[in-house]
Amino acid sequence: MHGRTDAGGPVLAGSRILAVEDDYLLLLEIATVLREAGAVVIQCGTVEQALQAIDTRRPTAAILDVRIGRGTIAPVARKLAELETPFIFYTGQVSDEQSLSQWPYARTLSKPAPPTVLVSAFVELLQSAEPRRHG
Amino acid sequence: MADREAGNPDRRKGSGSNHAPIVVMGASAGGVQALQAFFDAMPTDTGAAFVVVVHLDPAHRSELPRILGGRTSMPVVQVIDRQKLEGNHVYVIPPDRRLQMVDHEISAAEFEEPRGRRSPIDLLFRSVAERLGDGFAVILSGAGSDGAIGVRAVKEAGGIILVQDPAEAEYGSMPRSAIATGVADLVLPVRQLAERLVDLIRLKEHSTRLDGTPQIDEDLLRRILAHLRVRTGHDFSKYKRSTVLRRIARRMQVTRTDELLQYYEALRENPDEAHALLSDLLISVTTFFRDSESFDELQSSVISQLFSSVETESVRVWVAGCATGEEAYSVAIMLLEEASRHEHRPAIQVFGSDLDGRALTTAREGRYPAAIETDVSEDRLRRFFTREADMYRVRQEVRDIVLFAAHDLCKDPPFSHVDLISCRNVLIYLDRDLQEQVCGTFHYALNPGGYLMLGASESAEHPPGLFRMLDRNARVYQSTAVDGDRPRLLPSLLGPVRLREHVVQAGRGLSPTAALTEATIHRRSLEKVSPPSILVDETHRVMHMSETAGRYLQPAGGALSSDIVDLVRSELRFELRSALHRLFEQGHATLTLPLLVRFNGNRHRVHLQVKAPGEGETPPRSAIVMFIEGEAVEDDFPLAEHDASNESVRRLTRELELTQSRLRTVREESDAANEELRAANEELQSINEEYRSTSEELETSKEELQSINEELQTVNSELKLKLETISRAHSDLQNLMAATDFGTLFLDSMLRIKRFTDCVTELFSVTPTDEGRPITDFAHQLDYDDLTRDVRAVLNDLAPVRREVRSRKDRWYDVRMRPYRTVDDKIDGVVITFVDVTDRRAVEQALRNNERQLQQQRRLVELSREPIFVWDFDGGIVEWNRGCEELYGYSRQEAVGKRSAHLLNTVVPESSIAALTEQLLAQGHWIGELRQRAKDGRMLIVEARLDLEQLEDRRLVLESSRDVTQRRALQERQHLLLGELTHRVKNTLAVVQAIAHQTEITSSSPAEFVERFSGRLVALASAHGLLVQSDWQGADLAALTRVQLQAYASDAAQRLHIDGPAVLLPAELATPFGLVLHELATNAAKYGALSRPSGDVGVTWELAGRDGQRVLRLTWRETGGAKPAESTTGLGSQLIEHAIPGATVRRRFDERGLACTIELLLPEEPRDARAN
Repeated sequence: MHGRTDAGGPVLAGSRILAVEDDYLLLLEIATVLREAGAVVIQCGTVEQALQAIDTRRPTAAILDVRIGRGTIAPVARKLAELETPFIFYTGQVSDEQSLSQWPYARTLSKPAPPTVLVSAFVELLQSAEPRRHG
Repeated sequence: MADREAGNPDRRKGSGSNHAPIVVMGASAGGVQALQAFFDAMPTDTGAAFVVVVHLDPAHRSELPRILGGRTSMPVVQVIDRQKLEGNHVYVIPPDRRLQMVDHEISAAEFEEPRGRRSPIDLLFRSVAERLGDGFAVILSGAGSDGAIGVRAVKEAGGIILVQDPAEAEYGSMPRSAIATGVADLVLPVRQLAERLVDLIRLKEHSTRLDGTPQIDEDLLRRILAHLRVRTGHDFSKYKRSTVLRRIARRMQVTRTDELLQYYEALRENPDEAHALLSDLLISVTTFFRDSESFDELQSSVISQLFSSVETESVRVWVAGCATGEEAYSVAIMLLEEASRHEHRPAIQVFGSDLDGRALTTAREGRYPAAIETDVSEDRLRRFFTREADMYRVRQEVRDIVLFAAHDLCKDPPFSHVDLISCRNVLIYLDRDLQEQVCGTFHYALNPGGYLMLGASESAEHPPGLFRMLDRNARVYQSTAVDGDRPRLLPSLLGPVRLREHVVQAGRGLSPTAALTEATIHRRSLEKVSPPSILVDETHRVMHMSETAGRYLQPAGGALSSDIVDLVRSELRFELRSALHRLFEQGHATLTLPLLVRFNGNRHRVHLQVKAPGEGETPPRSAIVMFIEGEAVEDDFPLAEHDASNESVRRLTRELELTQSRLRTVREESDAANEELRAANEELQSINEEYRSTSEELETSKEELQSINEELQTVNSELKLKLETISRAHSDLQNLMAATDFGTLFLDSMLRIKRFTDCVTELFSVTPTDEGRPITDFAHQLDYDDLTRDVRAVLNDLAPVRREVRSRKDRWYDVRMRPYRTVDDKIDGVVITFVDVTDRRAVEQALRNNERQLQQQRRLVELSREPIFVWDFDGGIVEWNRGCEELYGYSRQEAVGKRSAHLLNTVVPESSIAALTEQLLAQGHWIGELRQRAKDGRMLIVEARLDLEQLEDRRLVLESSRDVTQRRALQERQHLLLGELTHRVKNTLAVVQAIAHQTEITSSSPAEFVERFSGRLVALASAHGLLVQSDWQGADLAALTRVQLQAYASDAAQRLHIDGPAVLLPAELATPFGLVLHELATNAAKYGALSRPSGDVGVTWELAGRDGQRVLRLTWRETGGAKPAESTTGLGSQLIEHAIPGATVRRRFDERGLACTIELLLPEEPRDARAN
């Protein structure tokens, strides 16, 4: 349904998206939505898994919960920034905005986001990232 | 000494013999009564003339003659114009007239002085002294000092002074003034005065006789003077004899002795009499500017010269014989006047010297009766005197330059380097030798060219060559010495007092009282056979004669003489006289030729032998005259024929006899003269000897004297400086006493008033005349009954006493008493000060009230729980109340003095301390939020208000603050909680969204979706419910299990077996755990053990340690359930396997049913659940 282009093709086809979320249900949901939009989703429940996945799977984009377990997503975000991999913060917390200010170009989505918003956010993210990567 | 002899002796003699004795009487206030008493007691036949002077109102007729007439039968006459004085008469002064003596007549004249400055008593007394020489002066009751100068004049002239006892007099001032002069002879009550006066008048007649008689016993007089010299050290033997005699006569009157011998006895018996005689001899009268024309001359020819030279450093003047100082002050005044006319002002020093110590005391005091107005011009009075009551006192200015010293002109070394000597009417008392000596002394004392001023009848022409006369009338001389002359030696002075009385030969009158011995018998028999003899002395006086010598004596007619020449028979006289003469003059013995002497008709030849009785005495002091008688001679001895035959021989013989007798007289006179000369010579020689030795002594001591003189001058100037200091201190004291407005009272140790300031009169009813009276006699205004007791206590304990005492006028005084310590630290009374402290007390009271109020207010602030503190804008903290202590933790002691911003580490958020300060200065206050640090390090947020107050020179800041830290923290926390809530809600909603979506994907029908979705939602809600109950701390595993399973087992108690230790699952695990248990339970209910009635479920768990961490192992065991269908791909299975983060889940099915183990690492026990 959603996640499809006007042409009917999967909008996120060809993209490898890293999803980091400690709540299994939410992770499952994100993965479900993004897969439906044609993306390959790499699911990670912890920071360690995520860091490993970045090395092994080389995601093209990422969606990051800000708080993971008892720590924060910062090491992951830092690594992604180094690799110039665009990512989106997915958070339910207003106060997190402050801690996110060090990544000004990162987009933030507020929980709960409807699947269409989630997908279109990635579409925009990848489109804007495209020229940078190749230009 | 001034004029010691105003009266002319010749005139005196007349007054004594031809005129009635005069009694002059002065009286004033209270005098009428005294006069009445006097004349009551006075007999009417004394022969004296009484002259009465009283102070009368010039405008009224005097009733005095009538009043006195009632008391005496003597005629009482008011003097009109001029009247001869007669005995037994009373003469009374008329109003507005003065009485004076003019040539033995009393005359009334008009006053020359204005009213108020008249002193008629002095005037009369002085004129009596001047004209009559002596008399009796009587001073009776009266006020003032009139008469004081007069009595001195009378006394000096030889009169006698009688004064009414001041204690009896109604007004004692006049008698007291008269007594103060020291000349009063008698001080008695009026009645006794009258009785004594009668005696004195009678004696006066006698003494006048004595005075007139040339036959004075010289020996006795010499003894009297010798006695006086021994007693007093003053030798009057060189004084004019007449003066001395008159003084002695006066003393005889006073002591009531008739004969000189009696007086000598009295003198020897009564030691005081010598001094009385001395002071009589020294008595002197002088006045200011006496003989004014002499002074004018002195001024023009001498004093102006003294100041003419600019080089003159000092002018030194010696007034010798200054008596009571008038002359010295007169000269000093003239010097000061002259000095004021010159720009150059040399130092002026006037020495006044006199023998009379008492007179000098008066002189030093410088206080003179008001009567000096007569002698001193008004101008001078104003300039050089101050009026003190009825006296004039010489100003300090003049007294400072005059120095008085007791000094005997004849005996003591003189002052030296003097420019001018004034010595008037002193030399006249001295005999010529002494005059010359004194002149020499003056010459020595004077600087070369110095001046000497003498009295009118004195001269400095002997010894010649010392002085040159400048002015005859004024008797001004100038020293002939010139600068560069060799200094003359100090003339010899009279030596120290030594008794030079002729020793009376003691043995002369005694007769031998030896027993009749053989020697006596021998002497008597010798006397019988030896020729008759007579022993005579050198004056031919018979001293002793043998028994048989009477035969040759035949005294001549007339008074019986002891002269042998007068005693012997006339035939022998001629030969005897010449023989005696030969012996005494030449020392030759004589044996005469036979002289014919007729005894009982028979003529005998008699040889006279005159020889000295002893040997070695030349000339002999006595002679023995022996009569050697021969045979009787016949009447017809040829000699008789001879004289019978020759008439011419007889005539010649008569002539010869006449000549002889004339010669005899001449010789007698010559002898007498010789005798005197010899005696004088003898004395002179001995004196000369003494002089010589004295002179040597003096020569050697002269140097010493001069250096001593120098020293004395130094000491003197020091003393003068000291005196100046003292008088300055005195005037300081006076001013201090006058200036202080608190009372000071000095009492002596008998509590008598010594001195007080004016303020004391407000408290005690005292007046300046009360000095000397005990303070206990006076009423006071103080509520202070213990005053006397306290004063005594101070005297006893010497500890000061201080009290605050209220007066009856409701004023308060601070009374302090302390002992009066003299400079040599003796206690001599008490000093009491009264300080009016009424105002101070009122102020103190007000201050105390204010203080109390302030204290109360301050206490309130201090106790306030609101933090308030005050700090000095330019310094540290001044005030720190309890609120501050509680808020900041610093005690008052710790805070005061510290700078507040520093102590509290004050930070102004979004601004700075500097900006705060600026605003505080500009607007006077500041309101805002501050961050401060408490003592324990807590950060405080306060709402502060600062107010700047200018208090005199200090700028104080009042800072009150309110702690808002708690509120701010709460707000913060609220904010945080809100954020957390949003987060959770959003998270939860996201989870719900995921559940819905995932459930929807895995559901085959809407009914199934609803069932599954709602089941899962409830499970989520239950887990949340438990977390909320525990305040999000976590969820108890047992409780979570029970909640999730309960809905699936109706008989849960039997079918569910839940067991395990208490485990609190943290919040982030509790929700997924709840979901997993829910899925397990749903499966069990659908397919497993709970789907059948017999099946049951056991949930057990245990905790184990691994690597220091806790491991939870939970086992889900179904028993008696059907074997479930394999369903591992469904959402339920996925959740079971993956929902719990970090958990290892194993599932296995056996015959009993499902067995599932969940193993997971528990995180550290959560410390603060909320933070997560």
